[in-house]
Order: sequence, then structure tokens, then C-alpha cells
Amino acid sequence: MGNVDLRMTKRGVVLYIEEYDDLDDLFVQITNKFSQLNGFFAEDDKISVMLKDKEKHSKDITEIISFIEKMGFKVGEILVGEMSQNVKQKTLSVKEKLSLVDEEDKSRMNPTKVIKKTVRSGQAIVHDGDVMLIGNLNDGGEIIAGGNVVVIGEARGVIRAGSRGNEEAIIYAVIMSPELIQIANYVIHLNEPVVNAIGYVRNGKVLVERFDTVKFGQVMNHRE
Amino acid sequence: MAKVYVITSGKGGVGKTTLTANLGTIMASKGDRVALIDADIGMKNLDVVLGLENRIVYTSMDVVNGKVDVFDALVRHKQLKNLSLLPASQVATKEMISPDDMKKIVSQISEKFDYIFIDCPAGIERGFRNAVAPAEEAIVVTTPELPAITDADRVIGLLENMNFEDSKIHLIINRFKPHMVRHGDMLTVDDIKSALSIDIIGIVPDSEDVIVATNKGIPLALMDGKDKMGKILEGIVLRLKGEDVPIPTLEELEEKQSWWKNFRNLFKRD
Ligand SMILES: Nc1ncnc2c1ncn2[C@@H]1O[C@H](COP(=O)(O)OP(=O)(O)OP(=O)(O)O)[C@@H](O)[C@H]1O
Ligand SMILES: [Mg+2]
Repeated sequence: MGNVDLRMTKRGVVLYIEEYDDLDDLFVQITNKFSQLNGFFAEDDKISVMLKDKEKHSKDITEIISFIEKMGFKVGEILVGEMSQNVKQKTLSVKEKLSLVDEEDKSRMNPTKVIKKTVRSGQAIVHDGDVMLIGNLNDGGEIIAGGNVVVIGEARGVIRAGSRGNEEAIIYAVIMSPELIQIANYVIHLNEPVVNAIGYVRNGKVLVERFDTVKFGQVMNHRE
Repeated sequence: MAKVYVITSGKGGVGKTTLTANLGTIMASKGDRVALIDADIGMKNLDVVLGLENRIVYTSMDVVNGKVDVFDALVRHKQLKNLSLLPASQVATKEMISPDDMKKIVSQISEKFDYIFIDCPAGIERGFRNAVAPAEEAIVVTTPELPAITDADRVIGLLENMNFEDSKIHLIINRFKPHMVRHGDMLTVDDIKSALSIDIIGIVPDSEDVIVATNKGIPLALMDGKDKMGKILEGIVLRLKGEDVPIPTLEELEEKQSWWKNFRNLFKRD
């Protein structure tokens, strides 16, 4: 057995990636896994991708996702960490729908991750808690955070905050001109860069405003 | 032990092969022992730019297949005896050679050379990884256009992921047109610097001389009357060697060009 596994959980199909050295080898393994299950997925099935070693492999995430999407699947969520123990180590053989959950401990947020560098096209910062980037987020780069995102620099790539569905997550950037902003499940494209900007969700919409026009009482509501 | 550079870009056609040939030629003409490796298997053309295409007997593919020793495959330059080329096969594909094969080849010749330049193919797939595997430093080439810069950013990111420190990654801006910058029609050096936040080691102007030289199969550095480009390329070589040579400013790049044009016009009138 390889280092790649497809499992069915309550949140849907999870592609579990344990360990790999070479991205091409990984892609071959993924292709093989999916081809064994030919025709098993429904049209709109979303796949979650779970990486065991996020530190080591976070840089590859965007490549892995675009590979899976090229194969014709939609990637719903990106998870990090171990597959929880009560998920049986069964590979997803034909039509065997387990209904087990890998219930992540939502209350357990990781500490803030601080990165001092340029996040370049094709690179991704993936972290379960808050992310603080000191440096630019270039076009084609991506931040995926379970919590808030602060960019001390120019943000031009993709930012996804509150990636586990936390609508209270906020995004700050000195210069905010990303390709895409996502908070929880809400997305927005900006037409013009905003300086000193805060992005937050209000009434089911992502708003991006200059920091001094935001009413903090509202934004900072019911934070844990 | 040779110092090993890979010359790469992401985007195709920005001048990797041209710069590999010319930087290598200048290094060699200064007395260093230089090997150029064509890693663009199946799309080779470093041999043509060097004017060595009629002297190839074996290629890196033959070395990997164990058919010949790597030293039997190296082709020596006609004039510069201390400049050698390891040619690429035109009939093989990039997948037929692995990063480990490339590392092995480089380690076998490393002792006999002072500098090794690897001409990387465009793209970020197998050919890229083959070319980068043996290198300790990288020269990233871009032109002053957004698609090339985005690709350069992508490649710098991949190099970082492969544990190249930013201090080992050098940027060359090729095909620079000072008059377009002056008219606000082209990105400035500062624009590019802030987009990529990486050290710039050279700016090479767009020049017809390059095309003339390429078509003759003579690297610019070996052609008569090409002192302007020669000086610019020499500056890059010196900076690679750690010397503190300032990069010509926009004014200087432009000045030299008009000086050269006037000079030529003078001859025409005679
Ligand atoms: N400074 C320059 N001024 C004018 N023309 C140039 C310059 N540099 C390169 N060229 C021309 O651009 C073309 C592409 O150059 P070259 O083959 O070196 O690019 P490359 O990056 O190696 O391409 P590939 O990705 O296909 O390997 C050639 O025709 C070359 O003569
Ligand atoms: Mg080339």
C-alpha cells in the first residue's frame, strides 16, 4: 500500500496523504487510487484533502489541489493532521460508505504562525490557527488559515481565513489587492487595492474597508 | 570542485540559452575552466548558439545509458579550449533522465572544471528538476513583462522550496529597453525588484547584436566590435565571482547605445 488513501467520512470523501518524497510519484499514486474507484463518485462530490505533515508539504498544497481538480474533482476542504483514530484503516473499496467522522477538535486552535518572507506564486501557507505574514503575498501565492490573517505587506495572492467555517475571522493587509478573499464560505474579488484594509463578514458578505472606517465593536464581536 | 549554476526562468524564450552561452564564454575567455550542460533534452539549442552542432558525437543520454564515459561526450570549443559543452540528445525526452542522473554527471566532471552552467528548459516539470538538482546557485532570467515576471516568481518559489537560500538566487533582467522605460511603456528595474524581492545581478539590453551573433553561432563575447554588450555581460560574470561592480544605470545603458549608434552612423557615411 502506498502513502495515499481515500476514505469515506461523514464530511465526505477524504484523500489522505501521509508521506511522500516526490510530487510526481504522489501524483501517480493519486491517479492510481482514483482509477481503482472509477465511477464511484457522484457528479458534485467534493473531496477533502488531508495532509499529515503540513509543515513539510504545505508548499505543495496548491499543486496537489490543481492536480486533483484537473482530474475532474472538486476540492472542498484542506485539512491538516492525523486521520482520527476511530476511522477504520479500510481503503474505500467499492461502495463501502462508512459514516465515521473525523471530528476535529474545533476548540483547539493552534497558536499564531508568524512567517517572515515573500510568499511567491505557487507557495502556500497553511495553518490551523492565525497567520501573520511579514512580507508580500505575491500573485499566485496563497494563505489558508483556520483563524485570522494579518499581512504586513502587500497582499496580491489568495487569502482564505476562517477556513473551517469561522465567519468571525478577519483579514488585515497593509495593501490589500488579492486575487481572491475568502472568509468562511464567503468570497470576494476586489476591483481596486485598499490600503490598511480589514476584511470581515457582515450579513453574509465579505466587506473590505479601510481600517479606520471599521467599527471594531462589530467586527470583533463574539470572538472566543 | 566546480561552482555549479543553473540558468532557469519558468517562461520560455526569455534568453536562458543565450545567456548560458555568453556568460560561459566570458568566464572561459578569462581563463576559467567552464562546462556548459544542455539540459533541454529534445529541444536542444545551446550547441547551435555556441556553433558546436557539427562536432557532437555523444550526448548526456549516451552517458546515462552507460554507452560512453561523460568525458567522451564533452565537446570542446573550437577557439576556447577550456570551454566544453555536454550536449543534449534531440531524440530523447526529458523523462529519460532523472535528477539523480544529472547529479552523477555533474559530480563526475566537477573536479575538472571551475564553473559549470546548466541551461534549463522552460517549464517547471521534470526537465526543470533535472537541471536544478545538481546546482548550488541559480540564475533566474526574466524579461520586463508581467508573464515572465510571474513565472520567475514561481520558479524562485520552487527553488526556495528546494532549499536554495535567497542569497543563492540571482536575477537577470534580459531584453531591457531603456527608451521604453523612459516613456513609461515598460516596467522599471525597481518595479521588478519590488515584485520579486530578489537580488538583481544584471540587466541586459535588448540588442540586435544578440540575434546576429546567434545566427552566426558565435557567442557575442567572441565577436569583434561588440564591446558594449561584452562589457555588460562581463559585469555579470564579475558580480557572480563576488566582485563589487555596479550595475549600469538606465542612463548609462541608454548612453552607450546611442554612442554605439552614432559610431555606426559615422561609418556608414564614410
Ligand atoms: N538581449 C537580447 N536581445 C535581443 N534578442 C535576444 C536577447 N536575448 C535573447 N534574445 C533572443 O531571444 C530568443 C530566445 O532566446 P533563447 O533561446 O536564449 O531563450 P531561452 O530562454 O533559452 O528559450 P527556451 O525557453 O526555448 O529554451 C532568441 O532568438 C535570442 O536570439
Ligand atoms: Mg533555451
